Amino acid sequence: MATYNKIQAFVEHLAEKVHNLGADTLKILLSNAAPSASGDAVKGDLTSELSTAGGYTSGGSQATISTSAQASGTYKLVVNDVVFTASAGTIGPFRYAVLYNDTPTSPADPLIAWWDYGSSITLADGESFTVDFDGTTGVLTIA
Amino acid sequence: MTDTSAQIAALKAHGDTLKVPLRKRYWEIEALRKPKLDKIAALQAERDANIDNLTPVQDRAIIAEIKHIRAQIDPDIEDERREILRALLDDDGKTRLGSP
Repeated sequence: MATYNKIQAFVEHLAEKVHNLGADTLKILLSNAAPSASGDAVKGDLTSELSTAGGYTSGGSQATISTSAQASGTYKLVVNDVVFTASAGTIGPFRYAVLYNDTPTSPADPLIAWWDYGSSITLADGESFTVDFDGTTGVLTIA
Repeated sequence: MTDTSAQIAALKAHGDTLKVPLRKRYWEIEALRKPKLDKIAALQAERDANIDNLTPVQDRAIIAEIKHIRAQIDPDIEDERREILRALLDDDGKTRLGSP
Protein backbone atom coordinates (compact mmCIF):
# COMPACT_ATOMS: atom_id res chain seq x y z
CA MET A 1 0.00 0.00 0.00
CA ALA A 2 1.27 3.40 -0.90
CA THR A 3 1.77 6.10 1.70
CA TYR A 4 -1.25 7.71 3.38
CA ASN A 5 -1.65 11.45 2.73
CA LYS A 6 -4.15 13.37 4.83
CA ILE A 7 -6.44 16.02 3.41
CA GLN A 8 -6.03 18.85 5.90
CA ALA A 9 -9.69 19.93 5.80
CA PHE A 10 -10.68 16.42 6.90
CA VAL A 11 -9.84 17.04 10.55
CA GLU A 12 -12.02 20.15 10.64
CA HIS A 13 -14.86 18.33 8.93
CA LEU A 14 -14.48 15.53 11.45
CA ALA A 15 -14.63 17.93 14.37
CA GLU A 16 -17.61 19.76 12.93
CA LYS A 17 -19.83 16.69 12.46
CA VAL A 18 -19.57 16.38 8.70
CA HIS A 19 -18.49 12.71 8.84
CA ASN A 20 -20.00 9.63 10.41
CA LEU A 21 -17.29 7.14 9.53
CA GLY A 22 -19.32 4.28 10.94
CA ALA A 23 -22.26 4.66 8.60
CA ASP A 24 -21.54 7.02 5.72
CA THR A 25 -20.82 5.85 2.18
CA LEU A 26 -17.07 6.00 1.65
CA LYS A 27 -15.67 5.73 -1.85
CA ILE A 28 -12.34 5.44 -3.61
CA LEU A 29 -11.82 7.30 -6.86
CA LEU A 30 -8.85 7.13 -9.21
CA SER A 31 -6.99 10.19 -10.48
CA ASN A 32 -3.87 10.93 -12.44
CA ALA A 33 -3.10 14.21 -10.67
CA ALA A 34 -2.08 14.58 -7.06
CA PRO A 35 -4.64 16.17 -4.74
CA SER A 36 -3.51 19.17 -2.74
CA ALA A 37 -3.41 18.43 0.98
CA SER A 38 -4.05 22.07 1.85
CA GLY A 39 -6.06 23.24 -1.15
CA ASP A 40 -8.50 20.43 -1.87
CA ALA A 41 -11.36 19.81 0.53
CA VAL A 42 -14.13 18.19 -1.49
CA LYS A 43 -14.35 15.94 -4.54
CA GLY A 44 -15.35 18.90 -6.67
CA ASP A 45 -11.92 20.43 -6.06
CA LEU A 46 -10.22 17.57 -7.92
CA THR A 47 -9.53 18.09 -11.57
CA SER A 48 -8.19 14.81 -12.90
CA GLU A 49 -10.50 12.03 -11.83
CA LEU A 50 -10.85 9.33 -14.45
CA SER A 51 -13.97 9.49 -16.56
CA THR A 52 -16.38 6.59 -16.82
CA ALA A 53 -14.79 4.05 -19.14
CA GLY A 54 -13.49 0.49 -19.30
CA GLY A 55 -15.32 -0.66 -16.17
CA TYR A 56 -14.48 2.42 -14.10
CA THR A 57 -17.39 4.62 -13.06
CA SER A 58 -16.86 8.32 -12.41
CA GLY A 59 -17.04 8.81 -8.64
CA GLY A 60 -15.22 5.56 -8.01
CA SER A 61 -16.21 2.47 -6.07
CA GLN A 62 -17.52 2.03 -2.56
CA ALA A 63 -15.01 1.21 0.16
CA THR A 64 -17.04 -0.91 2.53
CA ILE A 65 -16.34 -0.31 6.19
CA SER A 66 -14.98 -3.30 8.03
CA THR A 67 -14.46 -1.80 11.49
CA SER A 68 -15.29 1.56 12.98
CA ALA A 69 -14.60 1.35 16.69
CA GLN A 70 -12.39 2.48 19.52
CA ALA A 71 -10.24 0.48 21.90
CA SER A 72 -8.58 2.00 24.95
CA GLY A 73 -9.49 5.46 23.70
CA THR A 74 -8.05 5.13 20.21
CA TYR A 75 -10.48 5.06 17.32
CA LYS A 76 -9.63 3.00 14.24
CA LEU A 77 -11.30 2.92 10.84
CA VAL A 78 -10.74 -0.21 8.77
CA VAL A 79 -12.16 -0.54 5.28
CA ASN A 80 -12.07 -3.50 2.94
CA ASP A 81 -9.80 -3.59 -0.06
CA VAL A 82 -11.31 -2.04 -3.16
CA VAL A 83 -10.84 -3.84 -6.46
CA PHE A 84 -11.10 -2.11 -9.83
CA THR A 85 -11.32 -4.42 -12.85
CA ALA A 86 -10.99 -3.25 -16.43
CA SER A 87 -13.60 -4.71 -18.76
CA ALA A 88 -14.29 -3.99 -22.41
CA GLY A 89 -11.49 -1.45 -22.40
CA THR A 90 -8.75 -0.01 -20.26
CA ILE A 91 -8.78 1.93 -17.01
CA GLY A 92 -6.27 4.72 -16.65
CA PRO A 93 -3.75 6.02 -16.63
CA PHE A 94 -4.06 6.79 -12.93
CA ARG A 95 -1.57 7.20 -10.11
CA TYR A 96 -3.61 8.27 -7.10
CA ALA A 97 -6.39 6.60 -5.12
CA VAL A 98 -8.50 9.13 -3.25
CA LEU A 99 -10.80 8.30 -0.33
CA TYR A 100 -13.83 10.52 0.16
CA ASN A 101 -17.20 10.54 1.86
CA ASP A 102 -20.13 10.39 -0.56
CA THR A 103 -22.85 10.97 2.05
CA PRO A 104 -22.57 14.58 3.26
CA THR A 105 -24.26 17.27 1.23
CA SER A 106 -22.80 20.32 2.96
CA PRO A 107 -20.01 20.29 2.13
CA ALA A 108 -20.67 17.74 -0.59
CA ASP A 109 -18.32 14.78 -0.92
CA PRO A 110 -15.59 15.82 1.53
CA LEU A 111 -12.17 14.31 0.90
CA ILE A 112 -10.41 12.24 3.56
CA ALA A 113 -7.04 11.07 2.23
CA TRP A 114 -5.17 9.81 -0.79
CA TRP A 115 -2.44 7.35 -1.70
CA ASP A 116 0.30 7.84 -4.29
CA TYR A 117 1.34 4.72 -6.22
CA GLY A 118 4.52 6.32 -7.52
CA SER A 119 3.86 6.10 -11.26
CA SER A 120 0.91 6.04 -13.58
CA ILE A 121 -0.85 2.71 -14.05
CA THR A 122 -3.11 1.55 -16.85
CA LEU A 123 -5.20 -1.59 -16.49
CA ALA A 124 -5.60 -3.69 -19.60
CA ASP A 125 -8.89 -5.45 -20.26
CA GLY A 126 -9.31 -8.16 -17.62
CA GLU A 127 -6.70 -6.82 -15.23
CA SER A 128 -7.61 -5.77 -11.71
CA PHE A 129 -6.06 -3.24 -9.38
CA THR A 130 -6.46 -3.65 -5.65
CA VAL A 131 -6.36 -0.69 -3.32
CA ASP A 132 -4.83 -2.75 -0.57
CA PHE A 133 -5.78 -1.33 2.82
CA ASP A 134 -4.02 -2.64 5.89
CA GLY A 135 -6.44 -4.74 7.91
CA THR A 136 -4.52 -4.35 11.13
CA THR A 137 -3.56 -0.70 11.31
CA GLY A 138 -6.60 0.45 9.37
CA VAL A 139 -7.01 3.53 7.20
CA LEU A 140 -6.64 5.97 10.05
CA THR A 141 -6.65 6.22 13.81
CA ILE A 142 -7.80 9.03 16.09
CA ALA A 143 -6.44 9.24 19.60
CA MET B 1 -2.90 -22.95 9.01
CA THR B 2 -6.12 -22.30 7.08
CA ASP B 3 -6.68 -23.78 3.62
CA THR B 4 -6.09 -20.36 2.14
CA SER B 5 -2.87 -19.87 4.08
CA ALA B 6 -1.66 -23.25 2.88
CA GLN B 7 -2.52 -22.37 -0.71
CA ILE B 8 -0.70 -19.06 -0.44
CA ALA B 9 2.36 -20.80 0.95
CA ALA B 10 2.20 -23.25 -1.93
CA LEU B 11 1.75 -20.40 -4.38
CA LYS B 12 4.94 -18.78 -3.16
CA ALA B 13 6.75 -22.07 -3.56
CA HIS B 14 5.39 -23.12 -6.93
CA GLY B 15 4.35 -20.00 -8.80
CA ASP B 16 1.43 -18.88 -10.86
CA THR B 17 -0.29 -22.18 -11.61
CA LEU B 18 -1.70 -22.25 -8.07
CA LYS B 19 -3.43 -18.91 -8.45
CA VAL B 20 -6.47 -20.67 -9.92
CA PRO B 21 -7.80 -22.16 -6.63
CA LEU B 22 -7.15 -18.87 -4.87
CA ARG B 23 -9.20 -17.02 -7.46
CA LYS B 24 -11.96 -19.61 -7.05
CA ARG B 25 -11.93 -19.12 -3.26
CA TYR B 26 -12.01 -15.34 -3.73
CA TRP B 27 -15.26 -15.58 -5.65
CA GLU B 28 -16.70 -18.04 -3.11
CA ILE B 29 -16.00 -15.47 -0.40
CA GLU B 30 -17.53 -12.71 -2.49
CA ALA B 31 -20.71 -14.78 -2.80
CA LEU B 32 -20.80 -15.23 0.98
CA ARG B 33 -20.37 -11.59 1.89
CA LYS B 34 -22.28 -9.97 -0.97
CA PRO B 35 -25.86 -10.36 0.39
CA LYS B 36 -24.97 -8.56 3.62
CA LEU B 37 -22.93 -5.91 1.84
CA ASP B 38 -25.83 -5.36 -0.55
CA LYS B 39 -28.18 -4.82 2.41
CA ILE B 40 -25.75 -2.31 3.92
CA ALA B 41 -25.35 -0.54 0.57
CA ALA B 42 -29.14 -0.31 0.19
CA LEU B 43 -29.49 1.21 3.66
CA GLN B 44 -26.65 3.63 2.95
CA ALA B 45 -28.23 4.62 -0.36
CA GLU B 46 -31.57 5.22 1.36
CA ARG B 47 -29.84 7.26 4.06
CA ASP B 48 -27.78 9.22 1.52
CA ALA B 49 -30.90 10.05 -0.51
CA ASN B 50 -32.69 11.43 2.54
CA ILE B 51 -29.77 12.69 4.60
CA ASP B 52 -31.04 16.27 4.75
CA ASN B 53 -34.55 15.24 5.77
CA LEU B 54 -33.99 12.50 8.35
CA THR B 55 -34.71 13.31 11.96
CA PRO B 56 -31.88 12.45 14.37
CA VAL B 57 -33.94 9.52 15.64
CA GLN B 58 -34.51 8.18 12.11
CA ASP B 59 -30.84 8.64 11.26
CA ARG B 60 -29.69 6.82 14.37
CA ALA B 61 -32.06 3.94 13.60
CA ILE B 62 -30.59 3.45 10.12
CA ILE B 63 -27.04 3.73 11.48
CA ALA B 64 -27.83 1.11 14.11
CA GLU B 65 -29.21 -1.22 11.44
CA ILE B 66 -26.10 -0.75 9.28
CA LYS B 67 -23.87 -1.56 12.23
CA HIS B 68 -26.01 -4.56 13.16
CA ILE B 69 -25.66 -6.08 9.68
CA ARG B 70 -21.94 -5.28 9.54
CA ALA B 71 -21.44 -7.12 12.82
CA GLN B 72 -22.85 -10.25 11.17
CA ILE B 73 -20.05 -10.39 8.59
CA ASP B 74 -17.46 -12.90 9.69
CA PRO B 75 -14.16 -11.05 10.27
CA ASP B 76 -12.25 -14.23 9.41
CA ILE B 77 -13.83 -14.17 5.93
CA GLU B 78 -12.77 -10.56 5.52
CA ASP B 79 -9.22 -11.42 6.59
CA GLU B 80 -9.14 -14.37 4.21
CA ARG B 81 -10.31 -12.21 1.30
CA ARG B 82 -7.64 -9.64 2.12
CA GLU B 83 -5.01 -12.40 2.33
CA ILE B 84 -6.00 -13.78 -1.07
CA LEU B 85 -5.97 -10.39 -2.76
CA ARG B 86 -2.54 -9.66 -1.35
CA ALA B 87 -1.19 -13.02 -2.50
CA LEU B 88 -2.46 -12.49 -6.04
CA LEU B 89 -1.03 -9.01 -6.45
CA ASP B 90 1.76 -8.56 -8.92
CA ASP B 91 4.60 -6.16 -8.22
CA ASP B 92 2.76 -3.36 -9.98
CA GLY B 93 -0.39 -3.84 -7.94
CA LYS B 94 -2.30 -5.58 -10.73
CA THR B 95 -3.79 -9.02 -10.75
CA ARG B 96 -6.20 -11.13 -12.73
CA LEU B 97 -9.16 -12.28 -10.70
CA GLY B 98 -11.03 -13.69 -13.68
CA SER B 99 -14.78 -14.08 -13.41
CA PRO B 100 -16.81 -16.00 -10.80
